[in-house]
Amino acid sequence: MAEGGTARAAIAVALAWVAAALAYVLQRAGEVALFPSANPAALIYTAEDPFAWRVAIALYAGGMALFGGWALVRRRPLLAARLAWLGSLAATLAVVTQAALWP
Amino acid sequence: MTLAAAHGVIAWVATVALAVGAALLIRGHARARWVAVAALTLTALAAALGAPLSWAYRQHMRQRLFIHSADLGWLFERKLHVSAVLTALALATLALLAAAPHAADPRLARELRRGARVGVAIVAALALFASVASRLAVSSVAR
Repeated sequence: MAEGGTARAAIAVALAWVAAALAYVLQRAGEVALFPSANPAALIYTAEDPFAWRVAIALYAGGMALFGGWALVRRRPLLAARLAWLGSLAATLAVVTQAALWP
Repeated sequence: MTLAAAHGVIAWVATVALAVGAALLIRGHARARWVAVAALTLTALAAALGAPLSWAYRQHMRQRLFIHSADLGWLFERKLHVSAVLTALALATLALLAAAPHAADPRLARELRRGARVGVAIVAALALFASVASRLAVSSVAR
């Protein structure tokens, strides 16, 4: 059954946001693993805001995922909807693991 | 009211609303969808108010917090990561809630409603952690 544009667009948007969440977690985990940071108690001033950069890059990744999500939802809307909430579960597990092990 | 106080108040209201919304959605209550939409919107508003505080946190509060207690410092860092992810998942869940009434296929509508229930429950749990962690960390530095 062909789905309407509103439902398809909304599912694609949901997939994009899930991808953004996963991209944030991957960034932070990679950052901790590859780039040791200064002791926060000794850091008086910083010229950059790494949190803001992670959020910006995650939004960019989500924007890219929007196109892939749209392509998927056009062909397999049921699979796309299932991936959206399964991806949410995966992102939750990922952030809980990352926050616990590599904050 | 300062921006930080507004962020805190709205975040706590959103946390409670998310818990109520999740409970109503799981029970299949008639108004559950609107409660969930309102709760997720409040969550996004809290995030929008909190985002500008990130710079001020790094410049003025982070070092003080870590000097006072490294454990609370890392707890607040964890809160930041969880907050970023829960905001994205809240917006994803809003999209699923928006899609559900427009799905022509009943199987798709069922999948979207299931996704919305899972999404709201997840965001509610993450928001509870973020709110409690933030309260513990901020109150320790404010003393």
